[in-house]
Amino acid sequence: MEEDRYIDLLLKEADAEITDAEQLELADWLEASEANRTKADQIRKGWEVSAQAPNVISLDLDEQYKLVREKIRRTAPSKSKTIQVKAWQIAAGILLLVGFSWISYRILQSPPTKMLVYQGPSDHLKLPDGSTIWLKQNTQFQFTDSGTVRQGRLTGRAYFEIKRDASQPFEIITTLGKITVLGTSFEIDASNVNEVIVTVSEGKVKLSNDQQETIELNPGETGKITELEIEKAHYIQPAGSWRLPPRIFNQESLGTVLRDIEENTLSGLTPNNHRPTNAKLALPYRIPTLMNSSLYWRRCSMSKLPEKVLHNFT
Amino acid sequence: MNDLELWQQVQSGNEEAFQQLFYHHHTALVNRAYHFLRDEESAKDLAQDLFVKLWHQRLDLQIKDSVKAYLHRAIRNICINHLQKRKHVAMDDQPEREDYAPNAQQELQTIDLEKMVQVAISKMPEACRTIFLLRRMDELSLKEIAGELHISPKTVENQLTKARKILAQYLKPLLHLFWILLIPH
Repeated sequence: MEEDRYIDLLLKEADAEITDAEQLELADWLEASEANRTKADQIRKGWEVSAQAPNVISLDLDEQYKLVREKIRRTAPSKSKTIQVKAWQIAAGILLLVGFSWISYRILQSPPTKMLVYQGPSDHLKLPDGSTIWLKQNTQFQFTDSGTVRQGRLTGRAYFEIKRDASQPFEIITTLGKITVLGTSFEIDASNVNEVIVTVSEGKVKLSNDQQETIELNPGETGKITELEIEKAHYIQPAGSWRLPPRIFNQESLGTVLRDIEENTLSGLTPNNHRPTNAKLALPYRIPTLMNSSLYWRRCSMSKLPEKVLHNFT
Repeated sequence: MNDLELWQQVQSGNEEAFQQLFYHHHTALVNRAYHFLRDEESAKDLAQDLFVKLWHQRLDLQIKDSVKAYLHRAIRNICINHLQKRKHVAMDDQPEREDYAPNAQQELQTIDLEKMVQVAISKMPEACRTIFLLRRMDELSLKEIAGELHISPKTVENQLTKARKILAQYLKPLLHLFWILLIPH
């Protein structure tokens, strides 16, 4: 058993796996006798031999080469298959090239996404997509067209006539919410920081806020977005009445003036009180003075027509 | 023409150069494979397959330093893959096989040290032998062997200890016989 131990130590030493303590133990054993040293030499020689790979198999190389040639012939890819594979490779290459070219063409042809900034007051501004906007004083409208969506950012008050494009909705972002349309006319009043008022003239408009609440407005309807909610409002303010040209009346009856206002700006306005509708204007009068007051239009009724207007009638 | 020049000729489709390379290396490769597999027919087959692959892929293969080194690395990897496929298991710790030791005395028909060492190696369990040969012939570190065989370095260490024990079992009787022969009659 002792010999097994030292053979193991000798092999560990040869494989550089021996510890220092084992090395000392082995040195003592080697010192002990010449016989031990002779045995150790044999073991070390055996270890060296184990790294050699003697040729134990002799071969007929001609025969072996024939077998290799035969295997090469059997496993060679057939020419028709090679041609077929090459044809596929060429076809795939052409397809890739066409696809890449088409994508490149589309990228080059698509309009660059640049931002256009419009400052009010401005009338009849044409956007690149064909839509028209009117901006009031102190209003700014930033417009971008990414190719998939038309987007504007509004501060202030504006009237829009959006050119219909089903593939590219038009979105208008305000501080309190978003207005989405396809093609329609409407007004947005975002001049008040606490609320955004949207009044629709034609088509449908969708309002949404950060809380993902939405409402849809039809022609003649008004919606209001505040920080807390989004709802339909009951204003009778005409959409974009401020953008109409001034109307000048001279020696016209009150009835005529009101009918004109009703036809051109505001529906549902009918004389219903004590004021005589056949009174005549004493002096020329510019309607915009009346129109510009949104406060007035929100609570408009014949009985509350400003004295400033009425005193012109005799 | 040296091996690298022959290889360049092979790459341009020269069959004679290919045949020369084959004659230079095939015997050594078969024997190398045999040391791993201990199966002569499989060793011949795998070495032939290596040359078949060499011919088919001659345009894609980049051999820059030594053709011999490339071929020996290749046959080593082919043998490892072959053994792993044959076993359908990773070369991880396997149940201890003790059938190598009792026959050591019977194998002692000769005092040829080289042959005895080869017998010892052939008696090692497959995983143990593969690891031992990678260590001794390819001089790979424990970590490199573990990486090649996808096993832990600890397993490699265990298998090498086992290999040394088997080698010792075959060397021990040889020592006694050697000692007897030294005694003057």
